[in-house]
Amino acid sequence: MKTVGREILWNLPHQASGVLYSLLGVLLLLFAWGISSRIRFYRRGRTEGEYRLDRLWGRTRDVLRIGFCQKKVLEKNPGGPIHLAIYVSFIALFFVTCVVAVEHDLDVKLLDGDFYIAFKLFAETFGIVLVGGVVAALVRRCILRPANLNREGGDLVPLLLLGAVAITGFLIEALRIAATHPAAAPYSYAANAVARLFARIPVPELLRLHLGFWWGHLLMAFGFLALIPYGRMLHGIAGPVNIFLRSYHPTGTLQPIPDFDARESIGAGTIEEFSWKQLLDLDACARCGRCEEVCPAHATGKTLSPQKIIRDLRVSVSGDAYRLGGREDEHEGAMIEGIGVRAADVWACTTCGHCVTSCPMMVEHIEKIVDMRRHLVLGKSDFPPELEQMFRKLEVYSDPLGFGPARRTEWAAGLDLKEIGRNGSVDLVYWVGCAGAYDERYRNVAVSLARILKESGTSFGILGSREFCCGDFARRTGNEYLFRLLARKNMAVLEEYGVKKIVTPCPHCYNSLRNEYPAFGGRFEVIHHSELILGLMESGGIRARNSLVKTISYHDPCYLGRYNGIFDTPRRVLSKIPGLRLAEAGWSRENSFCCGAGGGYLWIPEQGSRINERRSSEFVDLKPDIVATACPHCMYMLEDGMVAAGGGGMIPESLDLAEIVLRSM
Amino acid sequence: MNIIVCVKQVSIITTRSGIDPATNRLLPGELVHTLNPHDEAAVEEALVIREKNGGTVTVLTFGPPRAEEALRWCLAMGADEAIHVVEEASPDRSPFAVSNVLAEVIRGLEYDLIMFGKLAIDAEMGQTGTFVAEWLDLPVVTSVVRVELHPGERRAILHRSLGKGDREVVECCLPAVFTMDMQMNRPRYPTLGGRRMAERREIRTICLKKEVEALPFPERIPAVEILRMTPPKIRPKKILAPDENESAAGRMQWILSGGVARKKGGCITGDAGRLAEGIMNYLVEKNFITRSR
Repeated sequence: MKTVGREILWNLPHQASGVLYSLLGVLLLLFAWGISSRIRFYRRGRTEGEYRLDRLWGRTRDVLRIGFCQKKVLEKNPGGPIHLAIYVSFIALFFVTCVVAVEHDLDVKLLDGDFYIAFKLFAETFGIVLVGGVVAALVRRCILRPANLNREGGDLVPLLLLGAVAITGFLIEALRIAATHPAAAPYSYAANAVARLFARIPVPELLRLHLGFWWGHLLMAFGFLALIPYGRMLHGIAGPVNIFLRSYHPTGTLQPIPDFDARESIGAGTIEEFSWKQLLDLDACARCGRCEEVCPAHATGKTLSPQKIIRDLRVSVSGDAYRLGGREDEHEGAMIEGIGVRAADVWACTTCGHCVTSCPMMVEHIEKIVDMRRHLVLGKSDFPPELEQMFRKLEVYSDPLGFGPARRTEWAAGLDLKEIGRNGSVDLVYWVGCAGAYDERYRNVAVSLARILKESGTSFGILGSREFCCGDFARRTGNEYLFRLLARKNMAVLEEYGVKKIVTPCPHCYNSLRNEYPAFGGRFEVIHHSELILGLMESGGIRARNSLVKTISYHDPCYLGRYNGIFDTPRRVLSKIPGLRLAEAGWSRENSFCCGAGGGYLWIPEQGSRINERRSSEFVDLKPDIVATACPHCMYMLEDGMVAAGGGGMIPESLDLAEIVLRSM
Repeated sequence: MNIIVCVKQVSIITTRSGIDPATNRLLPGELVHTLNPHDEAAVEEALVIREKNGGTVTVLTFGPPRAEEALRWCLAMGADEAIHVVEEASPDRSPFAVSNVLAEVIRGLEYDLIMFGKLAIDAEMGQTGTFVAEWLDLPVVTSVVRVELHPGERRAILHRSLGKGDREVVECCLPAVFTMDMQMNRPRYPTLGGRRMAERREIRTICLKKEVEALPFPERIPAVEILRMTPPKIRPKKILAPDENESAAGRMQWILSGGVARKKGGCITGDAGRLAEGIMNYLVEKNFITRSR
């Protein structure tokens, strides 16, 4: 006996089914056309050296974790939960529709009895969640208007369509209940409540209304689906694909260019010069603005915003007349010919990698920016003149400061260090870096680390005047040619001495030697001095005897933390020093705020307020006794920044880990 | 317009520590080498002229094998041809000797214009270009900061830098020798395409021993002879001491200020109106302007 259940396509003329499926055919055609045109677009991009179909299980797991389970989306409030509400209910209601379709087309009786009741409750609940989510999103977009959510034309279309589909769904159900009073009505609790409003309307009128809303519901739902490949909802398809095809190398590490020596041009000055994966990135972008929220350049008034770069590229390809929102002056400044990105934006990036790590779709902004810089430097020779001085010094003197190899060992005067080559081989090479060798202030760090190493009895040596700049600044500023020149020079020396293990206090050298030199044949272990010091402390090689009763804050260098995941090691070193109390800054660990020096930005004059002052003001307000860093560039950016942000008052002391450890020994 | 640019790879001192006690010369290991910046400006100017008037730019150097790097840099900038007169061991030749060699090579080439840097930043003699002009019997204009060419009339108008911002404007017929001042332009930075071009281009090498030694002049008449070299005198370091007549607090303040002397004259502070008033008063007081009544 049939107790509950319902007739599918109730109240519809018998042709309805035919019309519905013809419309579905049109929808599928539109959808397929859209997707295929996107694929044709990706194919315009160049091929790339990276193989992206390895570790299939890991990739699948990431799609499930980051995409399906929304791990990264949920990191931010309130966008995360709102998106989850819409996303989950969309999937649930899609499933509901599929069940109905299966029942109708395969002629299986599913919607019957208890299952029907559960089904009703399920659909009803997610319908409410969807409406709630859409309303919350509309409130956020139209009333709260967070600055990082830039509004483009047609932005609200998918949202409004979804909301309208959900509401007409409820109306149809309510009209059906009002007209037929089915036994299962109480389980459609929301629709049932709405149905009471229709109680006085005569039945034929109800039937007419039902028919109208039914077609409206259908057309809007189909319209929403058909529009997916043509607008921002594309992120729902391109996003998971992009996550699947993500890179697994450390954040921000630039990939080797295999045929570089045969190339006449390099970098991206046209859309075709971006790789297909970089073009896929453009579609995967959901325009959530999280990259902009964390971008240090954007926060200090530069016109750069990572999401704007992505959008500008997309706009320049599609020629779509998106309404360009954002800052007023963003139309000023020279564009890179061929792609609608402003050169000033490309030069304002510190390559801190915060946009990359905060992106829920695994979009990689930095490689694109560096590719455009390569085009400007090596293709058009058009770049900030301050960089030219650095390039020329690197080429002539092999260091960005122009001191030359002859002065590379000046810092070590009186320390009696072993120089490899001159005094035989050693187990560990101490890679000082240009800052340690030449910078007045940072020399003290180089000396401190040397003294710690000597104290611990570690056998180590320096390369002396045969160490050259690692090339990080040249590479990040787009001068791949110079980077390769320096990398080859360094590799020749490292190979000549058969170096097996390197320790360096500079995270930029660390990142280059460890992640980028293997492409030039680097087969050595590279450790950061924080790792070495922690090892020595744990093995008893050195002991922190003196108590330092001070509060200390640690600033995470981007190239150490976000790039290479070293967050805990320096903190553990500090915790082993008696008396020190760690006061964490708000922007710390994965969320560290860049000091403003990375990516060659140290050499480029800043527009707007200064990144290092913004960064330092947090420490000035926090008032620790010491601000510890583990990077030369962070150290002097913070030192300067705190003086400026401190306004003449007492400011924390800026010290490197090695200096603090040496003080306590 | 065919232009020959004569360039030199200069040695830059990076340290004062490495002086060879026997010869009082800098140790070779302490030097880095680069293209002389005045010469680079000359190459840049030549390329600009070629872009406007067509023709070729040939770079020419006389020096040890490593000087090839400087020629490659010029080729990467866009020069069409490079000629290298190679001398294996490189004694410091006097400008007189160098100019003889260069003039001899240039005699065999076609040219409308010869350019030099006004001096090489290592030896700072600044004579080679003038000597070459003499051997080739051409007019010479030195310290050029601006070139206006009139190739049809075979003449050029040149601005010479006389220091302190003074300029002398001269006219010169072509062909001629110009020596360029680096302040005249900002040389281009080579593109990747340029670098590749430079890697591929063949450099014509002339071996000094074989071909040029047979010439009448080079070393036989040394115009200048170096008698001896001495290490630089160590100058006493100036230490600024605070004025004894100041009070203790005044002296401390002086030291803390890093010894920066206070500027003479007053300092105007206050809002915009007061600043404007102060400036007006000053200008009137010093008779720069007179107040209208």
